Amino acid sequence: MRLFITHDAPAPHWQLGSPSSKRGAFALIGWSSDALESGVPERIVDVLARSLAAFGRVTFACSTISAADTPGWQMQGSDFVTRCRTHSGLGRIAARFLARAPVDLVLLSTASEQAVRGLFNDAGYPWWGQGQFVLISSAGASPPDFDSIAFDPATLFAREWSESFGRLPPLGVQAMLRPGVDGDLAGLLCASSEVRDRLEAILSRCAEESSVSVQRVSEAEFVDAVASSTS
Amino acid sequence: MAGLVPAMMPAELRYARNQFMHSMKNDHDFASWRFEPAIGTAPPILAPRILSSFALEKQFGGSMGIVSSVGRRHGVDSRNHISDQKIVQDLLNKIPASAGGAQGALNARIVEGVCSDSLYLAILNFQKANVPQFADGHVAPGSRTLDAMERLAKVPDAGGSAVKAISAAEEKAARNKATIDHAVDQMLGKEPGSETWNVSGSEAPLSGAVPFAAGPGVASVARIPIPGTNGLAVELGPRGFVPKGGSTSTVFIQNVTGKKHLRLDYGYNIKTQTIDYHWNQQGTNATFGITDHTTVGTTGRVAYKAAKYLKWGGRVLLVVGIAVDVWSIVQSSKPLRQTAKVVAGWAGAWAGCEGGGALLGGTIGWIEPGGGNAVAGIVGCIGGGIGGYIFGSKAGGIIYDWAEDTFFTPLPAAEL
Repeated sequence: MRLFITHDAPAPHWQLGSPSSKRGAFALIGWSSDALESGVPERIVDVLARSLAAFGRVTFACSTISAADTPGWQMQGSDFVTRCRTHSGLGRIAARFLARAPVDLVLLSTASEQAVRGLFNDAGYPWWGQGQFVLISSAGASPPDFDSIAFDPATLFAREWSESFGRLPPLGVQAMLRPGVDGDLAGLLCASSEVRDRLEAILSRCAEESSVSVQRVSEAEFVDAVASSTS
Repeated sequence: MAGLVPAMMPAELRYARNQFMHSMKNDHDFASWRFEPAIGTAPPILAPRILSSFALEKQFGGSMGIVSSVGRRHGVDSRNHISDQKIVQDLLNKIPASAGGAQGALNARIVEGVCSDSLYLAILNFQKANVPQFADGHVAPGSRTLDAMERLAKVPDAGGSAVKAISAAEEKAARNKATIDHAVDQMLGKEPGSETWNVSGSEAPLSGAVPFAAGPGVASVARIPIPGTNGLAVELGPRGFVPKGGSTSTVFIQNVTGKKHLRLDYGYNIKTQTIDYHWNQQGTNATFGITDHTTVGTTGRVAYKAAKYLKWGGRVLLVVGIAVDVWSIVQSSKPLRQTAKVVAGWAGAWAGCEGGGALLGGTIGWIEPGGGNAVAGIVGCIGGGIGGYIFGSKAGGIIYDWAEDTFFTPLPAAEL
């Protein structure tokens, strides 16, 4: 099992928008797997979750926890949770009636590796459906400013997510991770190349611990590498 | 104004009227009737009824009309004034049993505001025999039921053959009108048997199309179970949050959370490194034997597009079907009955859709797992939905009629 990283600008078919170098330092992360079942392989989940938690605070959409319907972050053990309304009026009623997806956007901000693992397999915010985002802050940082996120949370899920990333570093967010096409890879946009280097260093270390090799490749090699995966 | 009436009468009515006028030429009442303003201003269509009523009034020496309703409607007593009940009861008593009348059998005490069971049943019996399209156990002033009662009461002949001829012509006109009204009511889905669509031509009954809207409509939103797959079902939309722009998949075979799924997708395929139609899956490889990013051929492409059109077209049909049914309830002369039919129809459509989809999808899925399950499941769902609606609607009407015509008598309390 291998991890592949490229710093080349992502092609449109990866469905990760067009993050320019002005927005920050970008990295495309992919993997190969010999498992027949699809989804992010367990060992890759281990590596990514451990790396993100090791970097610092991780904030993502979570449908398995509940949060009070009040503005602002609420402490829940060592984690923080908040609820953002994404529908109003009839939309909320319809969403509650249909019950196909969470009515409100509930965010979990944590430094727990175990909690972070859940983001790759959350039914309410499916990674495979690109219905997930991950905000990465420094260790010891507070959760990102609630008002800035609650103002328009949909932009964080949008195809051009890199544009909304520009307003996040002042809120303490150092990097953002988004699933690419079919959840088979991930795009990482960092506030600076230093942050990206630091994250990649942590990723390499965690991968080594899990016996997963990490290769830095060009985008052309990246395409072939992820295509070689069995699943 | 009265001069307008003969000009618009059919030939048989004109003949009847001439005979009647001839026989009544020395009748002062007739002379005064001719110049009565109310008659002169009456629309031509009312002329036969007025003539007949006039003749009846002459025989009974007073007005035969009732001023308010008699009987019960939807199980609730009508006004039932004593004088009106008396008129209806007298009329029914004069009509032979062979013609649907009571033939003198009605002699129950008349109570103001309350229609006795015997009178109600006699009205209902008469209506079923003579005006079945209006059989609701209720007689209103000027209604066709009252007209029919008056006609059949076999009053002594006031104008001889003239009145008979008028009566016959009136009866024919009423029959024609009733036929037209019945056809119109059928078109609006208001009458029993409206689903048989006896009318034909370009003005096809709108509510007759509802089953064909219900089938695809329900299929567009239903969850069609696949037997033997441990909770997987065919759907046309994903579970979980979908980012703005929607999903690129159109057919989903998934469990209730969406975590396990097999979906037909169009987009970049990391395996073939091209944009194509392919399967994506998670946790369903063991069930269907389909690996992630398996490309599909022409059948898959057709299925993808068909599902896309069905998803949105079906929802439009669903809304239209519900709207037509709501309108049919509003317009119905028996709203409760129509409501029962509509509710049972949609319940039947839902059950038929899921049952038919499961049956056909499960069967074909043995031959072609995955794609066979999905396509056959959806086709079975549409067919089952159409059949389920028709069956449910008929059953709803039959059950309503049974309940309406059944009198429940409380049992005496058992002694402990």
